[in-house]
Amino acid sequence: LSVLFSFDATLPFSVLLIMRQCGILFLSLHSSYNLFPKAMTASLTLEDLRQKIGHPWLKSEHVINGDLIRRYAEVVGGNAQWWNRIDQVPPVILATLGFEQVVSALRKLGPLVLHGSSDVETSRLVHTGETLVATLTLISIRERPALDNHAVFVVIQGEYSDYRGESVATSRQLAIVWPRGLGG
Amino acid sequence: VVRRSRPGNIRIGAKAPPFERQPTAEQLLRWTVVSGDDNPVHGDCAFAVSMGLPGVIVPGQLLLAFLGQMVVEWLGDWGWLTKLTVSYKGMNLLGERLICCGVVKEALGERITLEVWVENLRSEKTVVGMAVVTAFS
Repeated sequence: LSVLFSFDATLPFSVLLIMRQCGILFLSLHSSYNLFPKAMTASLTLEDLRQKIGHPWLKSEHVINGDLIRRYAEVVGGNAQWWNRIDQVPPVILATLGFEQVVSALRKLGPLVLHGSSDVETSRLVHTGETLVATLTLISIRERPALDNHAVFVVIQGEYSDYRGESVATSRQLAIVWPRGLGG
Repeated sequence: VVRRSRPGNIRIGAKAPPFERQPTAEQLLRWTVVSGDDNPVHGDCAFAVSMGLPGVIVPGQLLLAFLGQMVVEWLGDWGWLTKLTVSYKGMNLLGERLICCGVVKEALGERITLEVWVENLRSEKTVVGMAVVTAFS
């Protein structure tokens, strides 16, 4: 895994594109590992998810390195130097930590998963180079129509803590799953 | 690290300069690398259409990042972005021109709250929410 992470951080965009086009799934730049690996390998049903409400679901550790901030700034555009000048890890990066595992898991319920809302709040400046543990907890699941189709609304709460175990940020995100897409 | 004091002229109703973006396929792919989210609705047009979508959808977290960038460029060096909260009201398609906007709604002590949104060229607000910045003391 560390080799893959290293590739991700150093390969030029064209190679990444080829990897993507060849269907090679590459991992994110968060130098991370899943602390609950079984959570991602098992199949998942709505009933399984309901059992997880209120309990830590996905936990992962991430090193927020300078390369991640650089790539973030490249994608988002604008004055990329701002984050370095203030020495703040962009809060949106915190909201992404581990969330790809949520999307990946929810895609086992249905093929179409979209964001409904996002909320991220930091309690202090998070600096480049810090190691954070992201703990994602399932808060609620509701089934109701959306865009004229049956949908499942899943609320996920994130807690991000530093090496001392102190919380540095929280998030709350709504993911909407359409088990049969929007096709009717 | 450069940090300045909060300017005294922050007033309710002040507008942040609009931050315009037109996401490309390359940008969305790069976002996949940054976020780790390889949801195919953000990269595979055939898949997106098969799901009943009009095309490739710009990831919500990338829109959130655009709004965050708009806020910090307005902010300058006198504070830091503390909170971002948004709802996604509509879908933004790949290649669509987007304008991120913000206006100061509240300024209490060191804490300034902005209403933020993303609108398309039809002036439809597809993302709405708020941002909070905290001035360095």
